[in-house]
Amino acid sequence: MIQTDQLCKDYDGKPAVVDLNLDVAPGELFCFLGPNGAGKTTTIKMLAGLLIPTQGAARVAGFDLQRHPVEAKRRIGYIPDRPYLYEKLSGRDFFTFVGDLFGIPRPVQQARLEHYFDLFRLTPAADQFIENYSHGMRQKLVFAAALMHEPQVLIVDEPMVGLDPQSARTVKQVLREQADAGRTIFLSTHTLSVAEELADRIGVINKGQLVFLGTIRELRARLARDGSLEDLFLLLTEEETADG
Amino acid sequence: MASTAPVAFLPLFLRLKLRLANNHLSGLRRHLWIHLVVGLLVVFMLIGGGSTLFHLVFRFLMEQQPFGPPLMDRLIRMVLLAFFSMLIFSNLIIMLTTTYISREVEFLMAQPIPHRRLFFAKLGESIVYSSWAFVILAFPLFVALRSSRDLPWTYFPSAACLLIPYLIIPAAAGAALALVIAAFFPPRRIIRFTFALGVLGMVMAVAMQRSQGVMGMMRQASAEDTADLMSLMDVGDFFLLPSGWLGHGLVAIEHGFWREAGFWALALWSTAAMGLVVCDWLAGLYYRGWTNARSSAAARRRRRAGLYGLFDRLLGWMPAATRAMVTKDLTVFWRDPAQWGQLVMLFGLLFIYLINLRSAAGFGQFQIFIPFWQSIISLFNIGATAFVLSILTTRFVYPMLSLEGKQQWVIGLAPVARTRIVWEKFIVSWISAVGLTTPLALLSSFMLRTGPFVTLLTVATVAVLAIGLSSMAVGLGALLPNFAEDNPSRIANGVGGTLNAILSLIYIGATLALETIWVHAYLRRGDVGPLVQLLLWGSFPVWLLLQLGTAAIPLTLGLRRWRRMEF
Repeated sequence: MIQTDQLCKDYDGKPAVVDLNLDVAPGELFCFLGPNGAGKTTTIKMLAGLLIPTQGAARVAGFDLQRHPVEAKRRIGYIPDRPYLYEKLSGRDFFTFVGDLFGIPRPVQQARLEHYFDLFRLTPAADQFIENYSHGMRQKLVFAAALMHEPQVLIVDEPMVGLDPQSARTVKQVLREQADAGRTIFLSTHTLSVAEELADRIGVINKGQLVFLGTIRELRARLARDGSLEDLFLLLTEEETADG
Repeated sequence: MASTAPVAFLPLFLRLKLRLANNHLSGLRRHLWIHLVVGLLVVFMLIGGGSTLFHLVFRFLMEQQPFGPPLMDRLIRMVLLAFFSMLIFSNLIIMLTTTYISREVEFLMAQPIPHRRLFFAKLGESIVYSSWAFVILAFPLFVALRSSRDLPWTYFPSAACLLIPYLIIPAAAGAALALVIAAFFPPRRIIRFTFALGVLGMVMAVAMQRSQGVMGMMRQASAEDTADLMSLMDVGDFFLLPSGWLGHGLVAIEHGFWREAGFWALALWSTAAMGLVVCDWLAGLYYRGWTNARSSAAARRRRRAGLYGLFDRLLGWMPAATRAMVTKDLTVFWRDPAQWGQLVMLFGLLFIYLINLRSAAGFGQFQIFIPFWQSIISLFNIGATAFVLSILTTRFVYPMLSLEGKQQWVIGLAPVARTRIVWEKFIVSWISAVGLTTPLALLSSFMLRTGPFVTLLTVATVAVLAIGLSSMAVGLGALLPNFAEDNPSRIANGVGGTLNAILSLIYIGATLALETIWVHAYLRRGDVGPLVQLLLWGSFPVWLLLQLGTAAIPLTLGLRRWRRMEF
């Protein structure tokens, strides 16, 4: 469902992502991990069509992001780390606007609004301007809006920042349910406990290079260590840094 | 899954913007009385006061035969050319900020919207943002033109037919420039941007040279032969520029030459259509430019990291906290070409105008160097300089404190008095304003060969107006901040910015009106009637009160508000 082929991105000659090859299957919850500045957000932006790869290609649901961007984006729900929201729209207005962008009929929008706003406990604030929303409410609104067109692929950059424990649990449940329903989840996070809890597979990127791709069990086997994902992650990235 | 039918994005985007505007206005109900007062002031000042002022100036010029009417036409054409250049520049900057840098575009880019449609939606937005100020300023000008020349009311719709394409052309030009700059030169965007400015400047210079040619012809004309002079002026200085076409079209409408007016309207409309076709052709570059702008951001930041240190060393004599704030402001200002580029353009236009005053030597037979015209034109030049300064203080100084809102977590918690930042903005603004305008005032006096009294008056007035305008912009910026907005242009275009622009114009007008009495008495060598004597003696304390009040009141109120501000 998500495929990258020798995907590279340079910033003025400095490589940010190098020869990234990924294949994420339908129904898979894939966690993309890495230290700050490793190339996670650059990769995500290439998958969302927000950056042009220097080399290689990215495909979502069979559509090349550069050749068929509109068709690819129709199938993506994107939740950025710093989402933009129109401060002077209400949550309901914003949801409707996104629904219209995706050509969702109004009655369907209404049904989904009720469902997702209830799910994320946004209903009491639906008609308030977004400028009055807390950080967590904004994050939940972005989730609701990204899910509204029932995308085949959900790309999520740092989903847990600012969420209260209850909302965090809801988000985790939603992500799992979406994957179980056959949708592909590409999740970038620093919250390793979330990755440990949810991921079917993980990819670890460091200094632009994919240094591990597989399940957590396979990571343990490779490093010949038991322990939490946090321990394994630190060991792996330190090892790579030392090698580099 | 989403529908596979193409989404009609333009109407959706328009609906979104209308909804945002409506929600914004509904949010203003909390301070309705302020907005009502501001609204009434706008209507009264711009439509009433502005048109009355223009009417008096136009009537006065019409009566000054044979020098007045051609000067009036020339002034109108110059104003239209200046507006045209500023509109190109304004559109270029607004396109770069709203179409490439804006976070809204990042959100929209992630949606299934064809890039071309997104670009044209933003172009429409840019036309609205960049043109509304022109429309407001032009309206009283056209009211006065109509009334001073006793034209029928149909003048307005006819003029509007010419004005609409006149606004679209610079928007298309600015958009096309933005597309090319962003697509091909992003890593060194600032340097290329300066280059683009240089090209614009050259276009201006060439246009001015053309005007010199016509003026050369005018030197050959007999002073009495006003009809010939008029026909020479009608040949048009800027016939290759749309501002010239608009000027000719307006004259044609004025005289009821409908065929000619139709010709100029067609020239304008076809050029506007061509401009949009060129934009459509270039729109394929949009996505590339947009992504390149992001790709180069990190490198640009690394390359220009030494600027802060440079300003910091240059300002080493200042107290540490003040130096930190001034250095931060100067660095941020310098790194944003939208700021200094516009500044260069505005003052460049004024500079070109003043340099061209020398060519007034060709008007020897019109006796421009007699004290009367020297004084009148000096007053006009003070007004023009102060007007440009008021645009600067509204566009750049007024938004400064609003932009500080999100930085209060660092500046607000620093161990310095909260009001230090307000003072710092005021002092930086005043020093910059004096540094920019005093040389222009001296240049004006030099070009007009004015005597010591008028020279002193010109320079002193500009320096004093710089205090008042800075105080007003900083004071109102502290009184009516907009912490939600990141874009300085939008902050300036808001209620507070509009109020600042109006009050600045009133202040400049009142100052000049009082000084006109002094100049009148000076020209008469004190030989004036009792009423003027009374006005003369009364004008001194009023002038002093006006300057003291404008310097002290907004700043004091702003300081008081800032002390209690919640962020």
